[in-house]
Amino acid sequence: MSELVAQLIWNGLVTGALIALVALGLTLIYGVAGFIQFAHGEMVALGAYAFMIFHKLLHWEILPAALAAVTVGVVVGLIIEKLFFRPVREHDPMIPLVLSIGLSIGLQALILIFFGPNILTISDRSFHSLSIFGKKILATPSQIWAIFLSFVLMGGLILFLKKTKIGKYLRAVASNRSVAEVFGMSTDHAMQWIFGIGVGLAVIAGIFLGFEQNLEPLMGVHMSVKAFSAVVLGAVGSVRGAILGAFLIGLAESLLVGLSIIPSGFSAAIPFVILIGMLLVRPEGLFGRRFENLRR
Amino acid sequence: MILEIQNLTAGYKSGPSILHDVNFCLHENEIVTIIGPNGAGKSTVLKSIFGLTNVRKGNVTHGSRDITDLPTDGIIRSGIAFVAQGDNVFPDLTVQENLEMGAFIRTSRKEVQEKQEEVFHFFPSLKKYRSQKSALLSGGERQMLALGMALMLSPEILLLDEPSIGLAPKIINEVFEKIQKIKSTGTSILMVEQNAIKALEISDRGYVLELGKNALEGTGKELLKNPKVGELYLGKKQKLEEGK
Ligand SMILES: Nc1ncnc2c1ncn2[C@@H]1O[C@H](COP(=O)(O)OP(=O)(O)O)[C@@H](O)[C@H]1O
Ligand SMILES: [Mg+2]
Repeated sequence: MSELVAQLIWNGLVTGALIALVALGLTLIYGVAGFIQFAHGEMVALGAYAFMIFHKLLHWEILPAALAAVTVGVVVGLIIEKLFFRPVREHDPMIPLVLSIGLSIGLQALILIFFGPNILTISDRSFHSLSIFGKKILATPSQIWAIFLSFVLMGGLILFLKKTKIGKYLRAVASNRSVAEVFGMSTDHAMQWIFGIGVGLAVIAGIFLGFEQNLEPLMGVHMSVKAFSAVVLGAVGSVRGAILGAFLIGLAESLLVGLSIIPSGFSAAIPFVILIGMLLVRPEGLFGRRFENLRR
Repeated sequence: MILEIQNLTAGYKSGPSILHDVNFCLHENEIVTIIGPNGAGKSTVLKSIFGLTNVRKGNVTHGSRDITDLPTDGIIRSGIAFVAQGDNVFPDLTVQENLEMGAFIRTSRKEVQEKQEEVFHFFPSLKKYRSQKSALLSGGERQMLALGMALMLSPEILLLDEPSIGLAPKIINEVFEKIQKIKSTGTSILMVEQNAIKALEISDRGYVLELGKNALEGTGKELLKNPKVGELYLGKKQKLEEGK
């Protein structure tokens, strides 16, 4: 393994970790609410811009600025659920889907209104040199934190869903909403939990993404395309699937472009190519239920 | 009287009324069965008791308490549990998690754990699947699990919607044996069934519901002997002895 490959793997892991945070929210919202939240990418942008405001414009330290951005994000998530998605929840899933597409476009327009098309940055150009498998690679502190924190959050989330009463409750509502209702479980509360957690994760991804690239109105869409592919790749609704799918896409993008196997202009197509290949070979996704018939 | 449904008129959302002025009652320690053709509104009766429909007229009383307008969790807390028709477990959760979630409204962890062991004792066949996803259970085991989830609430009244649906005859007998056993522990049962013979045999009383209205009522034996019931629900040619 050359030093270049090691560096590309590191970059791919960073991207994968961020995609994973976004994909987790997407898959959880799908699982409980039953629709794909297209405006989830804009929550990533919200995180990046909110952090930029607190950190660069108001000159807060990184940690309080990040906590403030996450708080803003979670509150926005709860409001979006209550204001937009709750009223249409009992309708055909097409309606919340279309609503979320509209919301996505509207939020992009809002960013444009407030920040203009200008490219903004929260750069962090101090590099650390790490040694992994005996290869020297360059990594920024924010990248190291991104990897560390996303693994902690992913592990924490899996434990939360498996072990806590609220986690089991959320899985129960996702598994069969009408049975949940018969045992006194509130769907409204489940939605609030899932939007709070999902948007919180997206905002954290957005903060880190802001260190990796420029802030621009479409940054959320680009991220949500990758996250969406990761979710479908791993089987929609599956937590482990979304994580694995995210790292596959992150690594594939980094390696294929970095080793000039694919011209960088085509990098945006990589998630789709992987996705189409996957759907041809294994349409149910990596973690899809193959034994669907056993459920009856 | 432990449960009384009086002059109930109900439907779904803003749709037409499905039930029209229906009356049912359940005494302490009784099994009462509502039979009737598909689409008569049997499930709607149980859902109405549980606050899951739009009740337009009449009321539901539990003991001396009017529960007509209580939300579902309030009705559960009042001591009523509901086993719905068909898909009535959480397929993606393990058997044990299903039981825990049956007791969702209960807050004491210790109580839930104790109750869970009790339920495993009552349904020994479930115990070996404890940590398996309930999607992997057979139809009969799944119905037992659904009953177990409801028993986690130690209900005073159990509402059962077609507990025998889709099960093999041998399994149906097992399910009905369990239902009788549940009754013997002091739970009163209001049940809806298509399998009229078997259900009426273990019932103290029964009602016939047709087109959302009360048609007939009587003791289980009376209804089994009633020629009209025999003709409509037990199959014309079927000898009544067959079920005895
Ligand atoms: N969720 C629902 N929304 C609207 N109509 C319903 C719903 N559930 C049942 N119905 C209608 O109510 C009527 C009675 O249904 P149901 O109570 O399920 O009958 P049964 O249990 O006796 O077979 C049927 O005409 C059915 O179409
Ligand atoms: Mg029914």
